[in-house]
Amino acid sequence: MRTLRNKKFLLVLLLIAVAGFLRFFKLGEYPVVLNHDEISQIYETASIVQTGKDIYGNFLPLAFPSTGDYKPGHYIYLSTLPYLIFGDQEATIRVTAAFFGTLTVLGVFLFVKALTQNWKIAYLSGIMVAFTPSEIFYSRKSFEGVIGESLIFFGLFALLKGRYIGALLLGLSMYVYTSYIIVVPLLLLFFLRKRFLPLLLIWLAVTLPLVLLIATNQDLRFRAGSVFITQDPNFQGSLDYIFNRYLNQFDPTYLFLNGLNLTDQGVVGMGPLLLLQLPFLILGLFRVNRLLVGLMIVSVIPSAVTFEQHSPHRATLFFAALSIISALGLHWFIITSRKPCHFMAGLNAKVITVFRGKPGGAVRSGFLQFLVNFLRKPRTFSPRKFIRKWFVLLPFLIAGFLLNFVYFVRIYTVSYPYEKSQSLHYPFVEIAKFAWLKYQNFDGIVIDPKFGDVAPETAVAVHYYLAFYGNYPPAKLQGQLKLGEMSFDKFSIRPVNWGKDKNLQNTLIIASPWSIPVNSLDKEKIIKTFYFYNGVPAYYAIGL
Amino acid sequence: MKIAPSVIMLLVLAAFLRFFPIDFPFFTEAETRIAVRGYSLATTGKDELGRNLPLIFNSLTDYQLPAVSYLTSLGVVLFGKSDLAVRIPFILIGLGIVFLTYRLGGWWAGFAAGSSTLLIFLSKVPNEAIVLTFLFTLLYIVVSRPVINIKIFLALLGLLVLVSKTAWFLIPVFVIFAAGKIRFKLFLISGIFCAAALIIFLQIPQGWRSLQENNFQGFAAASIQNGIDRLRGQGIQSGWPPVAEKIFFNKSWFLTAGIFNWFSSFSPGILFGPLDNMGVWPKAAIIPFILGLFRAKSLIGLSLIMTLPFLFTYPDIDKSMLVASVPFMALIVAAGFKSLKTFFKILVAGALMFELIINLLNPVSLRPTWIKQIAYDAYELSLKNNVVVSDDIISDITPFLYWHTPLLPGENLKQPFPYKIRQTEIGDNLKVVGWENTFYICGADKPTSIIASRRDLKKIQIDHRITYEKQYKNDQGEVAAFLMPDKICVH
Repeated sequence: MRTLRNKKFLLVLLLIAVAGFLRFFKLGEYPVVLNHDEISQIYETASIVQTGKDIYGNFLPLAFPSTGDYKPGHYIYLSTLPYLIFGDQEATIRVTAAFFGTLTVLGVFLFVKALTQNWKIAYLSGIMVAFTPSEIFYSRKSFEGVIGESLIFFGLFALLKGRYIGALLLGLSMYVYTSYIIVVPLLLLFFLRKRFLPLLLIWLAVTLPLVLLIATNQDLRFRAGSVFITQDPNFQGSLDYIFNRYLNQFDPTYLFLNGLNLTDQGVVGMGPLLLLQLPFLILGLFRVNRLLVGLMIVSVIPSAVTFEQHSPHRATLFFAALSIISALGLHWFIITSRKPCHFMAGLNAKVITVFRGKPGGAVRSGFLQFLVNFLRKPRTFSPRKFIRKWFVLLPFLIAGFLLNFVYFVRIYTVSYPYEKSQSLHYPFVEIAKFAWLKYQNFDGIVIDPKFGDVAPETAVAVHYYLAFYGNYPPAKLQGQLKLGEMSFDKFSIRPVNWGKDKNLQNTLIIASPWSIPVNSLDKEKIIKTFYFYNGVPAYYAIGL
Repeated sequence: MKIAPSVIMLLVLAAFLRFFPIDFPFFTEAETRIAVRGYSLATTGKDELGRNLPLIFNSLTDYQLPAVSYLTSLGVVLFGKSDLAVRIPFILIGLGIVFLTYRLGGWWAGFAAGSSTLLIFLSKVPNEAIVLTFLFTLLYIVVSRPVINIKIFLALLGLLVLVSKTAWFLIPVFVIFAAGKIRFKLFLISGIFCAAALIIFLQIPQGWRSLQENNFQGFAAASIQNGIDRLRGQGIQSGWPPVAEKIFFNKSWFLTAGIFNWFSSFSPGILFGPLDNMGVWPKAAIIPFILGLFRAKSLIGLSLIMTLPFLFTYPDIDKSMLVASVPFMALIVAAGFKSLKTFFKILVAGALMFELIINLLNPVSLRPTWIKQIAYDAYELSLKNNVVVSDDIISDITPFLYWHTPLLPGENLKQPFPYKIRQTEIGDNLKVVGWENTFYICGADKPTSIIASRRDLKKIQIDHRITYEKQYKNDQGEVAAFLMPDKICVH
């Protein structure tokens, strides 16, 4: 018994090690650069650690004005520890999410174990979540939703075990990620029973300060309000519209082919779930229990009530729920596939029972009946043969999953930076480093925030890139940063008006082809060209 | 045959939902073309292109099989030239489907079919899908009986192959599923029927092209091929082995896309979507549908089979084709209803009816009701003047000009089976003009009244400083056409 327990413990450790490997391996290299959210978070973390203030001089703010989006502060505060350990490395800001992303796997395992009392289903669920593309993708970027998700699974596990800490963890998850303010109370409806009453009261006590905070702090409300469905220009106050948006979250093409938005090639992309999870998800849907159904239908709400058609980052909990359900399906498949004939016959008998003796008696499954007959045909039916057959199937299944996973790795490491170079803000790392390299040669450095591969957009975090890659002390930045036309030190981040700016003296202008007439420029003045990952010119550095 | 009062109640309810509101929905271009054709066949024995009782018709984009057009003409023969006359045969077919579904699965199945928004919607407009659904449901009843009436079976096959090309690829698979066991004889007969229809169709010039462009377009989706090429190129450029790239990015993506296109037709957003976007049921039906899925799993297969053609039509999901699966999905909904306690049954059914009636009272229609005014004005002006109308105001304006005016269609075709046809000569004084036409200020020539699209307004205003007299707005409030003053002539 003890040996078996040890074996199981080792297997869980192995699972967590694998999950950790998938989340921590080359964390600084993939994604290829820090995007505008990550760069602002890491520099704000440095600012908090070194000065206790954000770059605008606010002392320990609850919401960081950052790039104008009022980021909730939890991720930044949680990242202070990794910052103290790892310092000014790019990977530092991703460590917190990767850590909690790894913990989520354990959380899922424990939750499913408590829910189903079945070690195998729990372990399969852990494997599914460990390998699910959405889980890996969001665990490798500084995304606070992963922390909330992890807390929810541990919270649900504790709640199922009747532990008070469950209420605390669920309450905390609401602090960490705003979307869970909707999800958690709805999930708790499934625990409205007498024995859970003390736990629910604790949860209420934990949540009350959050309610007060939201009611009194405008900055905290700003973020939620700016992404709410009311910001969708097509939304005209119709409940039907929200409900349609909600139902669209279950679109299989979105879930399995392109929902992760790693490419711009339509269906040839990557979904939040692996393609091979689909058949098992369908099977699992017929084995699912009340709480899992609840988790599935509630966790998708945040994604449905925002201004976008799909917000996969707000649906990570939903994807995890689907992964658990697909694990249920896989487990069922493994068990029943050993007796395919009995399985089909049982299913068919059930179907026939539904309509027996009723006006719809004619309704029955032709296909299932056919399968049953087919499987029964060899009267010398040998269970051994079938088992052998399915044992052959298992390696194929594993190989299929691995191939599907390698496909994700391929899309994530190769195509994602090619296709999403602009949204990753790819050129700014090189621009920041170059600007500091030329710092001594010029009196002023102007960087135009307008950039784009296909269409122009305005970069909002250029000052963060400059400050981070120039090791610029946050205390100094706080004193120097001028808002409006953003500037500090020699740097000015503003639109370039080439007609006027070409007459500036001893100035380095870094601007995109959207702002300067590249073809009519004196080519000798272009001292460097910065490219998007896909090789398209993004910026030109012009020495005046 | 004695019919129970509950069944009469069911049919009355279904009829009410199909007749109310009677002028909804407005016909689209394709539906109006069928209505015009029906009228033309009923009054002259010729179709809108002047062919005597043909077996193959033309829409703007494809060939059309005859059953629906002749059915429409029957309505016009009986009730005259009106929207209602066109709707009546299809309403009756819709009621027939409700009755057949009741026969298959009992009262709740009939109720589910009767309250299906998609079925209601398509029962009110001339279309192939509703006829196909009726015949397939009938075929299911015939085939799933222990003793099959071969005459009825043959008659149904004969009718089915004349309704829609889709049927040719569906019938043999359907027969196997519906029969409950492999009946090679039935499979063979249905296969022969479909193969014969296909072979005859391929004799028509551009028949193969018609199939490629309208029934199997998924295999030529340029977006998929571009995606494959682009991503494969990125991998090779990044040093991934070409073999791996071939494994990951190859033609199998066409099949994957097709399969997901097929599955997507069953996503809840489509099944329970808004009315004019062809949701299958009001949202309240989600509850019995989900419950029913657990109780009648086998019917999922049959429902899926009915939408098999979506496998080949990526990225299009012609939601009207979903209707063929409605009777079988209605059985799933019925199984769900049966599992509910009486109180909840009434509650859900009440919510369903409430939602349905609210939808029907406030229909959010994407249909071009605004085009009617343009057709009226064009006709009125043509009584005094030469009139031209731009052909890009809407994708096919010709049928509207015939249907909403007393003009009679008629055309002298140079070839019997043109694939895609654009009619330009509408009446003696009324023409449709395209991008190739030019405009000039009339000198001695008789001026022409022009109802111009944005494209033609631009063309006119490039050379001449002339402003329009009147604007026509579409249902979204955007300006769609302009009536120009009588100073301009057309080359």
